[in-house]
Amino acid sequence: MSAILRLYPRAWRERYGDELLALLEDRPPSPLDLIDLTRGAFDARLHPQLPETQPVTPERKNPMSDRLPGLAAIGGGLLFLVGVAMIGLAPLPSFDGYRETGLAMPVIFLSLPLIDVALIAAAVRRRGGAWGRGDTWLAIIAVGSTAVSMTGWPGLMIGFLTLIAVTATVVVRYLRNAGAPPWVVAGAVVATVLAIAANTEDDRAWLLAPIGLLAVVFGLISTLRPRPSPSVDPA
Amino acid sequence: MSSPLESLGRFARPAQQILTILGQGPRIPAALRGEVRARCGDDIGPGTLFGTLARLERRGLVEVIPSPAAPRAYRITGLGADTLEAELASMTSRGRRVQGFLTRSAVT
Repeated sequence: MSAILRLYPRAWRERYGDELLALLEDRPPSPLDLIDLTRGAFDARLHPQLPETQPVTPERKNPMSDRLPGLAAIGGGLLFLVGVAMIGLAPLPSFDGYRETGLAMPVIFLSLPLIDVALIAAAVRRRGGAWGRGDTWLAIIAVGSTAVSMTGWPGLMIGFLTLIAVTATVVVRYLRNAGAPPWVVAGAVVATVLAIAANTEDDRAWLLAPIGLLAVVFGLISTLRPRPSPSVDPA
Repeated sequence: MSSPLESLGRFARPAQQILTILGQGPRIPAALRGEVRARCGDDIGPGTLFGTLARLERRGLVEVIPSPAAPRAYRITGLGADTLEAELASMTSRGRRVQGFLTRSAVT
């Protein structure tokens, strides 16, 4: 039992260790309990609830786990811009006026789950809570639909449409969480769906560039800004 | 009306159950776990139980009764009681909305 307890942070063990051992003496843990304890240890490390587990030193003020969403947004935004540039700079064929996009769409598809996961994580961080089931499922669907979109027809269409829906949902959740007024949320959803679904293969591709830039700026702000202190909203 | 414990994510449900039990009086963790299982039908794992207690304690919704002997008992605070009341009001409101919808569906 002490081996599992060692998975928890020191401050957590000092505070709850004896109580946990007393609980386990009262009722020996089942295999499911052991899984739950392991999961709890990860949670205690990822979302420390005790102030002394996260001493305020320059190194720990903005730890790597806090920066990951921002870095994902920057990576996703840059990938998106690369995809847009691949379309915009591709040579224009003479016969039908559409550029040969080649790898551009897969690159754009890969950028979207990164941006989605960054937005989900940012919303979780903003509300100071743990990842809920809805957050996890959205992230899984975003990554899964991207994988499906790479499998060729009809997976391409199914994955692409799902990715648009997931991205719009993530945008809604983030903006609502940030307290944006309904008209901003509605406008952002319409813009997101129209922009991603544009699927342009000519010079209009450059019109999509602001999405990538927005993601990069969002990522930079998110990475550089200190983590807000979690709060409870009992109202 | 949104649920006040919603921000706790997957810990919202056990938090609601723990606050409800502690609303009846102080309990040690083992008793809490047993009562949640007996009264709510959910078997909260030990990791989830302490993860929830840590969140509730950090937010000032529950507190430990000081005692030299382990295990120590937890009790609900005034803020915790208010939060529980708001949570129950939110649940009642949601229930009424669902009931109204079902009644309208049955009529049409």
